[in-house]
Amino acid sequence: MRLKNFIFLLYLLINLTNGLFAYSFEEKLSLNILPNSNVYFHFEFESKWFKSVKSRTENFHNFPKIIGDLVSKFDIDELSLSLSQGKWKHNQWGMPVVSAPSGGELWASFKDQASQNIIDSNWLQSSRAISGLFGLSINLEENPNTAIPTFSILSDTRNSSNIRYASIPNEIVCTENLTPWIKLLPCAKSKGLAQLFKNAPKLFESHYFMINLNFKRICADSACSNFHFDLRQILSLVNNADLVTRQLNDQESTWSFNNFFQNKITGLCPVAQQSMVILNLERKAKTTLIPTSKSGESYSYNLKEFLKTSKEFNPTIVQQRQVELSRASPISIHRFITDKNEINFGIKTVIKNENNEETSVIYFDTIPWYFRVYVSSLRVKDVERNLDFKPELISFKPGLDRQKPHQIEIKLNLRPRGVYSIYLRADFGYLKWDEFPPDVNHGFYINPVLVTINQNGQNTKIYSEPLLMNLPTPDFSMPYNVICLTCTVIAIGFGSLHNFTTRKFKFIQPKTLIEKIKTFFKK
Amino acid sequence: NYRHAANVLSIYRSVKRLGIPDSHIILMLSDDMACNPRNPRPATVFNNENENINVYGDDVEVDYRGNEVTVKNFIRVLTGRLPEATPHSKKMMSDETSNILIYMSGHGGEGFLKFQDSEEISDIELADVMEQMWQKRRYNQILFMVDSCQAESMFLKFYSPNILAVASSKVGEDSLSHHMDHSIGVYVIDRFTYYALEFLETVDQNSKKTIQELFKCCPKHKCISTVTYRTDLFPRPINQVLVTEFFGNVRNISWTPDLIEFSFFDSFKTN
Repeated sequence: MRLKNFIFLLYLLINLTNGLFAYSFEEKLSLNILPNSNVYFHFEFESKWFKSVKSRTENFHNFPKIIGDLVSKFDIDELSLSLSQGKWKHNQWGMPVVSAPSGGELWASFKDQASQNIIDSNWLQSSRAISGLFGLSINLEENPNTAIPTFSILSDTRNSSNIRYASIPNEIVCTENLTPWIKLLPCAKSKGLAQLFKNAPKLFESHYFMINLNFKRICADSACSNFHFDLRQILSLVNNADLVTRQLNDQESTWSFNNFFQNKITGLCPVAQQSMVILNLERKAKTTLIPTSKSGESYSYNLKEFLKTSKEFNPTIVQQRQVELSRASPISIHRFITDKNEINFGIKTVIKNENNEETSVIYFDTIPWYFRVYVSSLRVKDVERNLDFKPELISFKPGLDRQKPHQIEIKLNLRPRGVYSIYLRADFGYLKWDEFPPDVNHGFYINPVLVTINQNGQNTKIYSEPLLMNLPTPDFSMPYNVICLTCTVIAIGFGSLHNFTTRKFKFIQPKTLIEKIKTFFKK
Repeated sequence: NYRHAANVLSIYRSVKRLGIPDSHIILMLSDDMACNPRNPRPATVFNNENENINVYGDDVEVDYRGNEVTVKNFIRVLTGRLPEATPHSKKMMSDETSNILIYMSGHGGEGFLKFQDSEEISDIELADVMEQMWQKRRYNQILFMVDSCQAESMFLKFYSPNILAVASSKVGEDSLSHHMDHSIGVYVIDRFTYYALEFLETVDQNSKKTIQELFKCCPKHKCISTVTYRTDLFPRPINQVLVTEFFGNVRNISWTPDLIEFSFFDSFKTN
C-alpha cells in the first residue's frame, strides 16, 4: 500500500516537472516613434510547447489545442497567416519589424509525403479549416490562387517544393477575426499585454493594423523524434497621437497608453515567463516612468517587477513631431498599371535600391489566372541607364485556367542606388457569367508582389501594393432585355401570322350612311 | 444596407443573450459594415441613434461573409449538403429534435428575396428547401422571420409541417425603416425588427412569454406595414408556444429526492 502511494507520488512529481518544462509563454511590446506624431506598437506573443518523447499522451498544457490538432492532422511544418488593414508606408515610416501585404496572406510548409497530391489535398483542407477558425472567406477550391515558389525564400529552413502560398488581397480584417486570434493566447484578454485589446473599436481606428500568426515545428535532431512547437502571434498598429488626443502642438505631442487603447495593463498573465515593454524612445521622446533597465535609448520595463510595486502600467510619453526615420527601408517598391488598351494592359513594378552597396533581391509575383500573362513581354530594365538588364535567374510557371495562377520569380542583383523596372503585359481573360463576384464593377485584384532581400545572411521581406483591374464585364441586364425583345417580336410577327392563318375572312358590304345611323341608335 | 446588418446582428445578440452558443448559430453577413472604410465608427454597428449598444460587439462569430453569402451556400447550409471538409462552424448540424429559428433581412419583392445585388432566392425554392429539411429529419420546429418588402410572399408557398412564419409586411406593402443616425448618415434599423427587439428585451431565459405576443409586437400604427403570420402548418396554438423554444436555450432540470435504479448490467448481458 505504501509502495503504491510512493510510486503514485513519484509519477505525479515526474508529470509536474514535465509540465514545468513542456510549455513556455513570453510576451513583448516594442514601441517605436515615427515622424509626424505617429506611433508604432508591435506586440509579440510567443508560445512554445515541447513534446516530451517519454509521455504517451499529447497534453498541450496552455498551448492552443486547436492549432496543435490542426498541424498534427495535416502534417504542417510551418504555417503563416497574416491579415492587415491599411498599407504600410515605407517612405514615411521606414521598415516594420514584420512585413505583411495588404489584405490577407496564407502559406504553409508541409512534411515530405509520398506524392505532391497528398500535400495539395492537405493544403486545401487546412486552408479551409483555418478559414473557419478565424472567420475568413478563403476558399481555394473555388478561387484557385495557390502558388508553389521555386527559389523564393518564404521560410528560413524548409524544402521549398512542399510550400504552398496563397495571397488573398480582398480579405478584410475586423473584430470577428481578432477575437479568435486573441482566444489563442493563454490568458486571452484578461491579463497581461492583451488587456490593451479589450476595446476593439479603438484598435481599428488606426492607420495600419495587422495581425499575424506564425507557427513552426522545430526539430531537435535530424530524424525529428524530439521537436517543439513555436507559435508567434504578432499584432502591429500605427496610430497618430495627435488624432487620438485631439491636440495640436507644433513641436510635440503628449499621450498615454490609455489614450490609444482606453485600457491599462493592470495584471500579469500567470503563465508568462517574461512580460516586457520596450520603449525605443531614441532621443525622439521622453517619459517620466522609470524603466527596469536601459540600453542606450531603449527603456525596458519588466512588467513582472513593475506590477509588484505599481497598480497599473500606463506611461505618458512626450514625443517630438519632426523626427528622422531610424530604420529606412533598403528597397522601395512601387507597382502600377500602364499602357492600357481594349485588349491588354501592362503591369510595371519599379524597384529602387536605397542602399549604397549591391543588394540581391528575389521578386515573387503571382498573377491570377484570368489575366493572361505573356512571358515574351517580360522586360527588366535599368531605368537610369535606359538599358535592358539581364537578371541572374528567371522562373516562369504559366497558369492554367481555373486551376492555378501565373507565377514569376526573378532573382536580381541591384547596383547601389539603382532603379530597375520589371514590365509585363497581360490580356484580359474572360470569365463565365456565373463566375463573376456579386460586385463586379469593383474590379479584380492583382496580388501584391513579394520582394525578399538577402542582406548579411538576414532575409527581409517587402510587399508592394495590390492592384485593381477591371475585366470585360458582361451586361447582366441583357437576359431581361433579350426576353422583352423576343417576346415583342413573337407577339407582333408570329401573332399576326397566326391570326392570318387561323381566322376565316369574309367579304361584307360597306355600310351606307343611313344604315350606320340605324346601328348607332340600336346600341 | 447598414440597417440590414444591424437587424441581423441585433437578433444575433438577443439569441446569444438568451443562451444559444456560437456553435449553434450560423451568421451570414454579406457586407462588411463594421470595418468598412466609410464607417465613421470603425468596428462598430449600432442599431439605435443613441449608439448605446455596439451590436457588432467583441465576441461576434461571422460564419459566412462577403462573397460566401450566396443562395447556393444558404441552401446548402439548411439542407446539410456541404462538402466533408467544411469546418464545423459553417455547418448546421441539426437533427429531428432541433428547433430552428431562421431570420432573414434584406431587399425583397413579391416571391423573392435579394442576395448581394446579383441573385435572389425565390419563394418556391425556399418552400422546397423546407420540405427537403423535413424529409431529411433536420428539424422539429421552425420559426421563420422575414423583414423585407412584401415579405409575406416568402412563406405563402410553404407546405411542410411544423413551421411558424412571420413577416414584416403583406404582399403589396413595403416594410419601412425606423430611424436614421445622422452622425453615421444611414438608417440604422427597420421598424419590424426594432419593435421585435423591444419585445425580446423583456424576455429572459425563464420567461413564459408566447410566440403570439411576439407576433403581435408591432401593430399597424407602429410598423405602418401589416405584420402577417402563418400558423396553419403548426400543430399547437401559438398562445401555447414559448418564445424561448426558438430564441433561447433552456434546459429544464428538475430535482428528485428518489433513488433511481438502473438495470445497467442486464443490457450488457443480453448483448
